[in-house]
Amino acid sequence: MRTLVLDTSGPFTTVLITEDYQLSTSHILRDRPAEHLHEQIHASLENLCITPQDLSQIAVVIGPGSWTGLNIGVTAAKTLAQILETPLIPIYTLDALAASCAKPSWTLMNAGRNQCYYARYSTSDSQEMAVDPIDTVIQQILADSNSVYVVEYGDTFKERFTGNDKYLSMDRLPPEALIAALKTSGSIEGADIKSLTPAYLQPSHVEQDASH
Amino acid sequence: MRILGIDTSCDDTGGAVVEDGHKVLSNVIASQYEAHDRFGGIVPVIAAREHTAKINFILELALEKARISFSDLDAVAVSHHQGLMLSLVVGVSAAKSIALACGIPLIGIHHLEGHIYSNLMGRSNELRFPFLCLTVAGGHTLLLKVISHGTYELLGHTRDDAAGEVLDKVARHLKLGYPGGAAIERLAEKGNPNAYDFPRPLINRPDGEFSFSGLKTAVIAAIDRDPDLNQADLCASFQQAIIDLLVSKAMHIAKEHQLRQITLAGGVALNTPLRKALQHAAKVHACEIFTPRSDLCMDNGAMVAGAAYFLYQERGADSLNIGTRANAPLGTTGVRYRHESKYK
Ligand SMILES: Nc1ncnc2c1ncn2[C@@H]1O[C@H](COP(=O)(O)OP(=O)(O)O)[C@@H](O)[C@H]1O
Ligand SMILES: [Fe+2]
Repeated sequence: MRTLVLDTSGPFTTVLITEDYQLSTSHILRDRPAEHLHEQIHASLENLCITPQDLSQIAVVIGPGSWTGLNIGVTAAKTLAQILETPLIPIYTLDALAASCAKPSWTLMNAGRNQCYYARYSTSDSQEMAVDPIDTVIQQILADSNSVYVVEYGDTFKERFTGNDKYLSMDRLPPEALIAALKTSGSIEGADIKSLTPAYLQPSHVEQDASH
Repeated sequence: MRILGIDTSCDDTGGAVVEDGHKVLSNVIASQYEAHDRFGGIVPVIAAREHTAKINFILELALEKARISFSDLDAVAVSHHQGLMLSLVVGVSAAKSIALACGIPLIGIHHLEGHIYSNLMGRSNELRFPFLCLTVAGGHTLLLKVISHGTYELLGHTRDDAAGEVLDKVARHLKLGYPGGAAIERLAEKGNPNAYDFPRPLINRPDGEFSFSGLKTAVIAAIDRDPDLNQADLCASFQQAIIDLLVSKAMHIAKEHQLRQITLAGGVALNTPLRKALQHAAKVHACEIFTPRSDLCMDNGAMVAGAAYFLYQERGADSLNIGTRANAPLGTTGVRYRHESKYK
């Protein structure tokens, strides 16, 4: 089973192709990533001497993350799955972060405006993802047993965890983490593919302002 | 040649299938008016989110209505230049996936070229280069000489607001709903166009320059001044001022550049009194007026597919890494024009 995995949630763009959850090829794009997403998909397929029709499923990181990045990645993936008639697998950013270390763990990322996205992962499944004020979240994490991993997407809160050797900062979701998350994520099929939307997790800033 | 055309340049998600640049097999549009209404203008992040939510439904519907499937497409075209960046990238991402998965050419189109070519669709035999194109929309008001496929010369444009934007702002002030120009046209039918003597900025200047913001200010002041306003009279007088400005500038430029065919494009081209006034003026000057089919005036995917049919023959396909630009020069000569944004 061949899977194309796309991640446009952060400052880098990742394109992976896996075969039965083994990495076949991976590429990380650094500048103007979203513009070159499709060109890279094309190149990755060519590298493996396969065509889009050889893909058995499409996976995409649906957020939370960069608003525009997610719109581009999710649209790209939905459209490919729609045409190729393959299942579509949405991967949550926080799940992929959690997949990169042992559980129990916390994952978090800056949501702007003094908010952060976060989730706690017990030994098996995750608690709901949420967005709350940074201080509340960090207090909650610090109050948790210090044998728990803390994985941040980015490094905004690094200083808050100085001295904690279980704090990890990641500037992108590594291939292994994406593949691990891929294994545990559910898939969407048929008519439901069209209605997949990014997991923005919060209204746009304009809507937030309007509701205050 | 069957081309799927996509337009997500602003706040409407458009998808259409057009055969050989002429035959519109389908043309579907999802409007976002309601999502933006309470903010008093288009909010780019919301527009992008709405496009992402709707684009795949629009694609499916466009194919379904055309009674074809993805594998029957010969090319995919998308507006990648001119509009809101956050919106453009969504349509472009979908178009690239289609080109990639179907193995068909990708054709990037300047959104304004879509408007211009809405006139050639079904009528490329009657129109002869060079001709004049007056594009009047929510985001732009400009006069172009269309020299050949993909080659344009700018002969005039607005210094400030676009005509459609001014129509929309006044309509909003009167709480008439969207599209503002259509609502004003409806009210104006029962009104007296001479009831108010609104200014017609720059009308006597012998060039193609437009200015609408002074007119907008005067109309809004008139509304605020009078609690017992006769809305029909006000709309009729306001609409007349816009028509006078558009017609006089278009006729002046047509004469000066000896262009006998004048095309009208953009959402404001739907306005019947404007069409009539242009026809009337054209008779006097022995010019011929072309207006697009009504379903091709406001932003839509069909005009993009139509433009792509003609321009593909000139320019060929684009690569999968084409980018997006909010303000892009137009055509082979790189025409630049001031684009006063109607967006927040
Ligand atoms: N019947 C009409 N009369 C005048 N203006 C109209 C009419 N119908 C629509 N419009 C105007 O057309 C504009 C939208 O046209 P469109 O080409 O979609 O704009 P844009 O490309 O700038 O988004 C709006 O400003 C709207 O008020
Ligand atoms: Fe337009």
